[in-house]
Amino acid sequence: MNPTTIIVRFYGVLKEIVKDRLELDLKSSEILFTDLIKEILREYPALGNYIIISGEEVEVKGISVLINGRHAMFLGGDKALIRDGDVIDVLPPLHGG
Amino acid sequence: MIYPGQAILRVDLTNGKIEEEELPDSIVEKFVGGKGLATYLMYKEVKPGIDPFSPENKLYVFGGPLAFIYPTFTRTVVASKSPLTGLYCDSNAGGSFSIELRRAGYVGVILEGRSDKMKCLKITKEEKKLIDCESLRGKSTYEVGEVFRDYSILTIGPAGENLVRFAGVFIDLKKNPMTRPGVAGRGGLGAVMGSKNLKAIILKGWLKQDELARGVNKDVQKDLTSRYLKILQEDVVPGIGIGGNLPVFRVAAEAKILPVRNFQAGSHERWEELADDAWSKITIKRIACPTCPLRCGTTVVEDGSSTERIEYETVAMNGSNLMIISRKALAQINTTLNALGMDSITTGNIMAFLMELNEKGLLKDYEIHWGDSESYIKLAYDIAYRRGIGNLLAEGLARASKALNAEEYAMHIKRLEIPAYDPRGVVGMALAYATADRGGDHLRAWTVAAELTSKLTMEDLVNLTKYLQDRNAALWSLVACDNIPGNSVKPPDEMIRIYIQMLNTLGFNYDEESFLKLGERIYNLSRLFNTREGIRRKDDSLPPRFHKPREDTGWVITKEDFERMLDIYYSKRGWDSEGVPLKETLDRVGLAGLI
Repeated sequence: MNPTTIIVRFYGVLKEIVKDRLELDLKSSEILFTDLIKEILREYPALGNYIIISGEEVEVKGISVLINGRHAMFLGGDKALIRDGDVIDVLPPLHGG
Repeated sequence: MIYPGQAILRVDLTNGKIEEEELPDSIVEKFVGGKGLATYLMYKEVKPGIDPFSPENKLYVFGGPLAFIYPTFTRTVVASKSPLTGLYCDSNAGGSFSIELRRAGYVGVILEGRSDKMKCLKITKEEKKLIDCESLRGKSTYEVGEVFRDYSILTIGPAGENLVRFAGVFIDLKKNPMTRPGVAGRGGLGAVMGSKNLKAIILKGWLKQDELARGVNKDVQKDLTSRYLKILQEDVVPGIGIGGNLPVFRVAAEAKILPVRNFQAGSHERWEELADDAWSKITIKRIACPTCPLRCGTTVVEDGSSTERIEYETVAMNGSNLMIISRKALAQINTTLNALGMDSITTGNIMAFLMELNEKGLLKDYEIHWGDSESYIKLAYDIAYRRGIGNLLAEGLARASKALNAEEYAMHIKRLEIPAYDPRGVVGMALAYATADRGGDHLRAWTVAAELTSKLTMEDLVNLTKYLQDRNAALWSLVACDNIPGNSVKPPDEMIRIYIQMLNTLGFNYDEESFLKLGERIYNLSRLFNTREGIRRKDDSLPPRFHKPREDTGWVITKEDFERMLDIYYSKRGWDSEGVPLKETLDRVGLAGLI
């Protein structure tokens, strides 16, 4: 199987938990978004304040997740397939208005 | 009568007649106060197709039934057919006005017709009359505030008198105010007031709290007040920052969703100079609206330049968006816009549009460049007094950009200019902006708060957007303050349950489900106002720029993705494919037989 390298970028308060950028080498050529999140949460459990895995579903608390510039919900949400070279941006929640 | 003061004052500025009207219980039960009553009466009374500047248009100024009985319900709703958009518009502002209005025994004032001379409406225990105010013509909002310093005052500036289509309505602006001033900035409601030759409403209430709370169980009132104040101290005070919302500047900059150079980028290297820490260092005073403990009204001074009520939208739309990275300049800009009486979000968008046209060599006859705050101030005056290019810009960004053949650079939705968050990052706000009842607006549904949990699906986002639009419409009938649920560090559900109990102490009979339905009823009615004016699916759209990848990040909302989300939204709302509410929806939300 070909390895997968993806980049995950974090912004705002999320950077304090994870650092601003993760470069992940994963064992398979593609990975389900939910499985990717499980991997990241294993290493950074404090992210669980913002991203929750409930069974095979991902719930988010005010954060936005973009995959190659488009919001994940347009690409299948937690069923989105992440492939080699993909860039994921994770934006923090906002207070105010 | 459900609650004391369930009456309005109807003022005909054409013939000077001022009449009191009791509102029927059947309507008050269904629409409560604030945005609810204003929307219902506006739908019934303002005929479709009328010119917003004509005497046939009406201005609705409403408080809510909880003002002065419980803390914090001090907001005033101002509503009318907007001269900027031609659609439904309501805007709400802090300050003392709605408390004094309730203490005068009214829940609302309706202004009709047009006076031939400049007038002020004066409401005291001794008299309710239109007084001559020709001597105030051309005066700034601050100057009018000084003339009537001992009153609660709702006024317009020169921009409103000159029918600048984005002139606002300003409450309690005066030198060194003791309580927080308020701004109902969006949609040009100040110009509606100006078109009627009404410069100000000044009032001094006289009823005591016990008189307004007649019938309220005192022990329950005391218990609800105590529980509410505890929640405010524990959950909201920690979240309220300078200006109420300036802490979000830092988050927006770090998340790259700050408006920069007309939404061409999402952050810049000097953003910290405009973040909340920087404003904290120059804050000299924090004041609150009457009865509120939160003190979000922030006065700042830098190098001799001071301003009241500095907040995020003004700083972002006129600071980072225009590359004016100077707190002193922004204080001057805020004071100038307050004095002239213009909306800071709209003005910032217009300036950014012009600066980008200059950047690209597309504007032949006028020069204004990124960062030029001096030219900004001069142009703001030209707009307020409709001089030179200011006359065109006073028509609002949509009309001005069309006249300049530059619509692709104009950031507005339904002619209401965009607030200071780029939805290509916070995609959850894209639907909120496009389906807000007054045009490009972020307050109807703030979907990106940490207290809101959702799945990564369009269905969940649509559900959240609808829920917030309905919830907030209900809250604005009370009239609750946006700063409170929006800055709570915990989900505001318990707070809202307390609000419902407060309402029921007055004689209403709401539960959580029916309270949300109240909001859905109001939201469908404002939508009907708009569809009656011709709004359809093509108008629930984003500016072209948001459908292009942003240069610095590549973030984009494709048209196809947006349309898919809109389909789901219409279905959830019970609207047809053009966004018109279906009959069965109107029946379900309790509008059958009322409209």
